[in-house]
Amino acid sequence: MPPVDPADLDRLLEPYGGFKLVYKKLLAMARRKLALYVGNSGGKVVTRQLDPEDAVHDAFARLFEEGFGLNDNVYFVLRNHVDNGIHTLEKSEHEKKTARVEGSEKLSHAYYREADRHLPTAPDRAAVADEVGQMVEIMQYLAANTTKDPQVAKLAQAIADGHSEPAALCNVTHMNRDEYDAAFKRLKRQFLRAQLASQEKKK
Amino acid sequence: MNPDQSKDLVNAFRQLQKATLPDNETIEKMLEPELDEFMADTGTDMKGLNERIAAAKKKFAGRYALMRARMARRAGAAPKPCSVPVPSTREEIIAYFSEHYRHELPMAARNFKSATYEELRQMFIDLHS
Repeated sequence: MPPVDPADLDRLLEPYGGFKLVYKKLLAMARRKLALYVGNSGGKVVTRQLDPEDAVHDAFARLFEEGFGLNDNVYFVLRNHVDNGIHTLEKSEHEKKTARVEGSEKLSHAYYREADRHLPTAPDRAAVADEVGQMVEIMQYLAANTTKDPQVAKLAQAIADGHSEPAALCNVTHMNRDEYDAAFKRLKRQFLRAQLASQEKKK
Repeated sequence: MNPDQSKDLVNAFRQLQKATLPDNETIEKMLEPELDEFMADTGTDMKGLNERIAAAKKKFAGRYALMRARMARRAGAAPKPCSVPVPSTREEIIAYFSEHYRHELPMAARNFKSATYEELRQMFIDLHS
């Protein structure tokens, strides 16, 4: 068996910036994906409990368990493993809730022909309503915390109105590019903080 | 709050989420300090992150070494035990193939009559292991 040398991982991931940078990028991507999960519908309630670092660890474990080819883009494979791991967790929760008639595929198909499987159940509808409530709460939190920063409040309103290009946002908010950059940074922080505060409450 | 107001706030939320969360391609281009800033903003426990990364590196270096050992073993693997006795002469193997396989052998192996005993023996073992 070859000797264990942690530097081997740097050599493996050298084209992508080395182990530490790849780990941080994967962690940031997992964070981003999990930040998109708001509410409790589907499998979100379980997915939100997932620590992004666990998602990255699972991706590395799967990479070395399944192996890879000499010509494989290892970084790309890892990215897919992170994405798929989170997605599978959400899907598995959803699958658990899917009705099976007496455990039989055939009977289930017959049942679904009669009943609209896309029609949300009462608990699903409640979860979606709760999700909407959470988004509204985040927006209210944001509004309350930006009253003392009119630039951020104006910028949030302009984005909410559908403007997305920096030039258009500068125009609408009457800010120059430097003011816009600084205000956007503050808005980003406030918005993420509002989301985190809301998610902590949900846990 | 009436439903229209809720709808407006949800739309506003979606727009802000889209604008403030970087997409994967943007994360891809981020330098390490920018990644650190994004992770701190999104609630990552930055205290000891570098130590945790070093520990993960050590842990996965072991897994990587095991994977390479596994692949090396597979590349130079000894053939699996043959399930039937291997005929001891070239003629016996040809007779066996002619009787049992004929056209079922892959194209590359059809011309087995010109093969050496060693080649035929390996083909026989491959078919029966």
